[in-house]
Amino acid sequence: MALFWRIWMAVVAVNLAVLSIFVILATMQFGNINAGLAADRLTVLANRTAAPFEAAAKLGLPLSTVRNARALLERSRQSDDAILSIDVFDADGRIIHSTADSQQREISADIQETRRAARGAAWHHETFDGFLSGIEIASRGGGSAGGIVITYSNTENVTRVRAVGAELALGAFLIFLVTSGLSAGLLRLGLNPQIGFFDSLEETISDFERAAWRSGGHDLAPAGNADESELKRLLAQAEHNYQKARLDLDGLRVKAT
Amino acid sequence: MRAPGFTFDREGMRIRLILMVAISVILSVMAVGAVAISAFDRAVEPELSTRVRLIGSTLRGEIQRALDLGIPLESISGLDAYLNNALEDFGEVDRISVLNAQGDLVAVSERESATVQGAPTGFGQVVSIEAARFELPILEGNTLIGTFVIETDPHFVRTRLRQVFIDVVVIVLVAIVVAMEAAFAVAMSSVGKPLDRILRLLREQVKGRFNLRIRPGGLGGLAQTVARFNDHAEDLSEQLVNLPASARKRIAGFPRWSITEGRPLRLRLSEISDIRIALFLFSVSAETAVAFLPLYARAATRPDWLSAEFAAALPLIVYLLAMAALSPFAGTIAGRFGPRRIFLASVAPNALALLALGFADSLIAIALLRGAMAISYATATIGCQTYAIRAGEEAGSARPFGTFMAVIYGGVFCGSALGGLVAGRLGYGSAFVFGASICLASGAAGWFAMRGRAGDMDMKNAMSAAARERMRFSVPFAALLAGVAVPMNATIAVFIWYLTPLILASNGLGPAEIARVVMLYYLAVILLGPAVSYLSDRGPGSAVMVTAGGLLSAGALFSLSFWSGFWAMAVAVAILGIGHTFIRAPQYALAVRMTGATGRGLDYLRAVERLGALAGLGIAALAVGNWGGEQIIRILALIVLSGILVHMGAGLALRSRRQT
Repeated sequence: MALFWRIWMAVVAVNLAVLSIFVILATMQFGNINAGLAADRLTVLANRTAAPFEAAAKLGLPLSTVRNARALLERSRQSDDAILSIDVFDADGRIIHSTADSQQREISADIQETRRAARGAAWHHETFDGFLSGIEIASRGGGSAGGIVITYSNTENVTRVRAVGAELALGAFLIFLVTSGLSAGLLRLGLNPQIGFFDSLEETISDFERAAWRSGGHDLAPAGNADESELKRLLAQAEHNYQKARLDLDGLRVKAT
Repeated sequence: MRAPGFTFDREGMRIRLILMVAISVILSVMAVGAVAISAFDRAVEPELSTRVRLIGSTLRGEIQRALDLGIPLESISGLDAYLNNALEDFGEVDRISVLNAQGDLVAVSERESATVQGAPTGFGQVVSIEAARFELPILEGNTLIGTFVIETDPHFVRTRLRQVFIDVVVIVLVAIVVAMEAAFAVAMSSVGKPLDRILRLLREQVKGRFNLRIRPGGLGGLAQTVARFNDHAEDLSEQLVNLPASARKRIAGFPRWSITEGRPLRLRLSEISDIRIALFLFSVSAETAVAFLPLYARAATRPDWLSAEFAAALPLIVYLLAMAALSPFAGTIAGRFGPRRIFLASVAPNALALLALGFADSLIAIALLRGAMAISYATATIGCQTYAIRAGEEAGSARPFGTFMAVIYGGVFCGSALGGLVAGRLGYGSAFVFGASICLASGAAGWFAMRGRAGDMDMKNAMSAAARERMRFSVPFAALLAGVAVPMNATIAVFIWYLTPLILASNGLGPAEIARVVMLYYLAVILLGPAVSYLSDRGPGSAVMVTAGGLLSAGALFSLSFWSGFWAMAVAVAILGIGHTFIRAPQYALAVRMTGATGRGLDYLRAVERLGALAGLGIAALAVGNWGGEQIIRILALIVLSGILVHMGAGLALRSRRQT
């Protein structure tokens, strides 16, 4: 059975590694799916919020002239508790309207870079603090009059990803326990010839050892029966040779003294 | 008690292990997959719901605005087009409809897939997700005049998870091969090898030779037996040392005993399986770049006169050139310096070349580094093969070729799959670093495992036996080389290594997907290899297997004239893998039988294989711009078919000559 347990442990270790990799990959993929869904939703919200600003921009009016801008932004912000702030900025990145109380005057260089890379399309940017989603506001001439950026708390997303990861890990562990037991049964059945071979080896060796104890260190007669295994014959013959060689050496010592 | 035989049933154990490990791993992953989909569905539901409500309220707002302007619901122009646009923007929405107060349909937009998909079946049914339906009222003043209905795709989460599942399938397949190798290594180190060592020591002691000892170890009683008989040799040695000098001289009077005056020498036995882990890991590392190298090379900066197609093939051409140039000498080098030393010396250059490939941005650098990899690959593999042949001769066994090929292809399979996976997820640079790390691990495995005498440089007998052979060069052997070996290797190089990545990439597939298709070829070799060897030895025979394999290969290539696309390529690659599996081992058996020599005959075969691959790839790379991939595949199919007919003709001619 020792052979069986060793092979089983190797198989179980690989199974555990595969399940761990699966759980990690699946959790990462869930994080991507969840972030993608949130990003798309924020784009919808940003588009809706941007409508009055875009209407003003298309008339050639500066974004700063939109009346009740703060109230419009605040109404959108209150549609989801996880929205931390909504900012409207002009083409140069200066913040014109914001729901936040902070004194920040410009959008960050990172956001500017992401905006540029998006080339007018909706963009998303993940930071340590949260998740940023933005769109451009088209001007009368078709260029950019500025944009809207929504800062969204990452806490809920992270919690959800962790919860899924934990659920998967627990499920995988339980399944691992079940399939480990199953693989033990399968291996026991499937490797029966090899395990039987090893057991018979052990038995042959035990028989030989027992015979050696019982002989009390005296010469063990070599096995001559053709029905006996070759291992048994070799063990007995090698032991017999050893005893004989020892006797010959003892004889030499006696003669020398 | 059943008397134990003297062979630990290695092949039987391998087949059983593949089956049991596959069942165990596949069951685990399927079960966790079901858990994952269910967990995803529940976790994503709130976000999906919020999002769909927002979409619905935004779209309804637009309709409401038209109603506020006094336009009746049924008369809003372009409502269908507006809903169609909305549907395009939101992947998870399956159907948007507007109903009037009586519940009659005013406008609708829905995806074709929504009506086609129908009810999920099988595994899909177990993990299927309920479609979500949201209804938002449309008001005119205080009167309800209609309803806005939005329905989501129940398969949304499952389609987003498909990518993970495809990756996991690759991991599962690799895991089965790795688990099998690991379990086999455990069994061999616990029982197989210790038993071989004990038997060898016992046979020596039965002959009266007590001047050897063996490495301690083994499971249970085996370790006890090693300790006992090692101690016998050491005890007699001590007894001899303790004798007076005059008596010691008289031991010559007992010629049947051979006893050393110092500690008995340690017997270093070699086993074919010594090379398994080291060669497997080396093969994995060398193949990590194979799946995406044509794409990597094509994107690199190149001279203006060099076409993109030829640039993609250049690293492969240099690789094959270096292999072909080194192959005739690699055996001699391995013999001269010792297989172990040659293998270990190949590890560092291969790892460095892989690392450097990650930083290379010019085609010349990539080609040169691939050439360096080829040289180290050739020396490492021939070192392992020489070790296996020597170990096989010690054991009087003919297993070395089978073991060598099984391990190489197992490594190729895992390497190409993992390389594509890592490159797809983490980028090409990570894949090269991954390959270099595995290469270093192979060096460590070789350091510990290849310690038998077969790894030494002084086994003159083993080497000279092969060198002394006289080879018979016959027409059937020439037909085998020209009709089977050359077309097969040209097909591998042109179709599997070169055209498949290019064709699949042109269909929009990334490196990970390409690697998955390429690995189908190697999967057939791993899964069917033992069965083919069995059939070749005890079934219809090698010649029939080679012919069947050739016809299958030609059929796979011709099939691409009738259909195309991802599945056509995947099926063709898989069938080609089966066909080549039918050819590979029986071809070696036929070569040995036809030439009456293992060493020289196989040298010829190997050299011709490399040249065939090289010529095929060179011609294809030059011609692909003018002829296109499909035409080249058709020509390749014709060559394979003609080659098999030549081989069959030569075989029939030989048989009729023997009969007359």
